[in-house]
Amino acid sequence: MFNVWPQLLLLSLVLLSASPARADDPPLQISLTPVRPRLVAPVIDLSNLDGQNISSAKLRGKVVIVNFWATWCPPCRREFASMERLRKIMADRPLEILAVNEGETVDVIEGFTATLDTPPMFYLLQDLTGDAMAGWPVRGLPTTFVVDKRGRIAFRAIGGREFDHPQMLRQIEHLLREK
Amino acid sequence: MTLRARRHYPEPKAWALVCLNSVLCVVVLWSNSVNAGETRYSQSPESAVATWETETDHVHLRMTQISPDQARAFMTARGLDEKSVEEFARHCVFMTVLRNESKRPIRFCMTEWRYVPEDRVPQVMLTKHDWLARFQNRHLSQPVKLAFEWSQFPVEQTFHPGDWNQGMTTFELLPGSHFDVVYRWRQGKTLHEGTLKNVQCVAPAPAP
Repeated sequence: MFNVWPQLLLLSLVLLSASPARADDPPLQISLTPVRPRLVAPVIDLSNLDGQNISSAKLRGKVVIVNFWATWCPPCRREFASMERLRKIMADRPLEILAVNEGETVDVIEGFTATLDTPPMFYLLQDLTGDAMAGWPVRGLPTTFVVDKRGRIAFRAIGGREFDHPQMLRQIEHLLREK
Repeated sequence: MTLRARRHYPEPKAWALVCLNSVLCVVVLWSNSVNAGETRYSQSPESAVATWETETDHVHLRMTQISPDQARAFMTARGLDEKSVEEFARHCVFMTVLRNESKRPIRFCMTEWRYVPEDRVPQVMLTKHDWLARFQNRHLSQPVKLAFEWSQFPVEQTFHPGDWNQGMTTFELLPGSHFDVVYRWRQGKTLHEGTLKNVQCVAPAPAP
């Protein structure tokens, strides 16, 4: 009997790739751009949603992902869940995620995070004036930087990413292995 | 038994299915892609919002209509004052997405872009700097200014392969106007351009 299942599977994949949802949303990308030479990252010194001060200076020795975002920014919203999945995958590794919200109140931020299947357990910081972002080379949201253990910007990404994609994990893993 | 005799040939019905699927795959893939330089138009069946999309040299531009009501709702929710909201919503507004799917970095500057209304000469783009200059004396709070500024499409930016961004673009045109957008970027020292054709501002609602 001739096996037609591979053909049907191919057709299904093609039809799925042509679905309207995908046509509406640009795909989340799966790579980080290396920054060469690595520049010293500006210090982030902001409050979290509980009003506690968090300083990136105290995170030296860890790989730190700094994500600038806002709830009204569609790709920021789309990539958010993948940052929490990344945090879970790297839970026992020296990695921290700082999601720096631009100009929104605690109520607005929590209104968004309450809609997520899994609440984010990484740092949510408030940059009410935009002063923290001004020190970084940001031209649009979302923009993400990956800071190495020595406090230098090793990677950057403009636009939404799928942070737990194997290709992204490989790049982060490589950074985690550095001294 | 010879080798030839042992081979399993598909039945005629199976062959027909294979051929049909192959043709469907080709048709779907073809219809799902934007041919270089062409503008693809689509409309959401739910909201009737229209989108135009094109790709030139692996740099994609997509613009989706934002209705005056949507623009008003967005800016009011960000805390913009009523006068500024109305001024903004009177313009033709689009959600604009630019993506670099090429293998090399690109740099764009919106001051090099042009929009070309029907039967008119090319016009310079309105940028977020223009808007912030208009709002300068309205004493917007820093969070409001921040939200407005960052919701607009960046004026200039470098995109490495895979980078993309989205933001609002605005045009001084009447509702229902048609126009082309000439978008430009530099790759090394070479200036490239593509054109998104026959884009249309949200048409005025029909009289009841």
